[in-house]
Amino acid sequence: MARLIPRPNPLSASKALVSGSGTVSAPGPIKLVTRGQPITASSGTAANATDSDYSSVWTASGLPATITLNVSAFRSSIVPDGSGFTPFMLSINDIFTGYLSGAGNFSDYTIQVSTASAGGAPPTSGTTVVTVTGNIYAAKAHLIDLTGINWVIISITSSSASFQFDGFDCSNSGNVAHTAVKAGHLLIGDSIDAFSLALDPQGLPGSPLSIGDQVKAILGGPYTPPTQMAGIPGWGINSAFSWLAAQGSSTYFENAVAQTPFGNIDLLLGTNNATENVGYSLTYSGLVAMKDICVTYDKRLIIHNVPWGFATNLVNGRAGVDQALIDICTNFPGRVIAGADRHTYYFNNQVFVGPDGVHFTGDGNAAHRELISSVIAIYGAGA
Amino acid sequence: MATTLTTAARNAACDAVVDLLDIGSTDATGDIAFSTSAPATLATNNLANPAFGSSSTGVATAGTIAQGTVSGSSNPSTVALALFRNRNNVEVFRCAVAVSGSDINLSGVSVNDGDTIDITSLTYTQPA
Repeated sequence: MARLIPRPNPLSASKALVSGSGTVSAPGPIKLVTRGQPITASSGTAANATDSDYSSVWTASGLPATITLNVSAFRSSIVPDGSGFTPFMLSINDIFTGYLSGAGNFSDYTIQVSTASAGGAPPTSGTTVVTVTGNIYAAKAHLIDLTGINWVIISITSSSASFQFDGFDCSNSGNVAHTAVKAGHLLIGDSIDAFSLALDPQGLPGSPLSIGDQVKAILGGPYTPPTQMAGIPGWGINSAFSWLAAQGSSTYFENAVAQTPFGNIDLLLGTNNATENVGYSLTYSGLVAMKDICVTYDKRLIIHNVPWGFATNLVNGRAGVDQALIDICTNFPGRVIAGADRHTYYFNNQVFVGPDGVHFTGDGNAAHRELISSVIAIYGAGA
Repeated sequence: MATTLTTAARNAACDAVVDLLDIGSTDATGDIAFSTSAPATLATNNLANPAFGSSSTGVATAGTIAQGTVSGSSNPSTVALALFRNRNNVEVFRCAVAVSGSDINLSGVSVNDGDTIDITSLTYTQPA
């Protein structure tokens, strides 16, 4: 017969306690860190590529040409994220038109990095980290690991035309540069959009700031998000969605989305797009396809609606387009976000619409620039 | 009856635990791994070395804690745990994290890559 053995009462004590408090903070402001940094070139005025005046550009007397930036002053302020990723965002911009492809782009180029002494003479070569051939984009951005690097060298061996280069711009946030890249914007629209949003658009009143600088001015702080233009002359609904037709193994739209490191794709279907009267179904299905591509590449699609205008084709054709733009935002929250309400803005400011009822006036272009900048400012650093 | 620790015993118990964070040689300091409930690490805040000061009436106060930066988040991910690890990255103890009413209260627990976590106060208490 088993005996029951009484167990002693266990000693008990209160459990130890951890007590603490802390804060979670969003990334710091995105700064344009390359502005005014030491730069040299094989010919021409290299400093034009890093000054604050986008109307002054660097051109070289011939090819091959190199431009070499000393990154030592700011490199140490770029903090790698947990994976050791230390990105460098480089924009090579067609500054005047804002077109996807146009004068000023480099067809073939390399980007090299060098650990040569920061205080010595600029190196003439380094380790190649980027090689591009057959580039069609007038604005490009690359991510470069700057760990231990003092110099970045761009070497251009083929250009589509006499190039104009003014975009040796690197942005990084206060703590993690990767965030600055994710907060960048690729702006896709028609010629009206491209012209008014270019780095240095011609014919606008005053001296327009770049979109990044305009966002900085709106927020009143050192916040200069990178932007990449991808305008298409005469882009209409049909031509916009022809971007979804296969081009090799991909599509123009997909290629444009895939090539940018930026996290935001701004779709600016313009007044041209509504004049073709293609209706709701084609517009909506095209937008869904664009949304799907953005999802594939982990991008956020921002929809800016069609500006108000009074051209007959625009008035008669826009209803289906407008509804499709509303529905794509409603049906895919989080992935598709409503941007600027350009219809209401230009309806309330009809003086900004030119005599053809489609294009903006000079002041209308400047207003458009401010409107889009204000939306980018609202979305902030990767929010 | 419940056991009651003397102050000396409380201090000894408290110091014994927090001093475990200083053991190891892989890293210069122990750390706090702020993690999801899984747990999956979202940010690592390095502790001082020693991590905590000497216990007084059963309470040890942490030294300066370095800022941690969030990475590997699902953008967003939710911070739910704080794993206290020694210099060899071996867990010593863990506690809960929330916005309020928890062991460690943060201003927010929904975090994205690039967010930073700063700890403004931290104590370890061995009750009587």
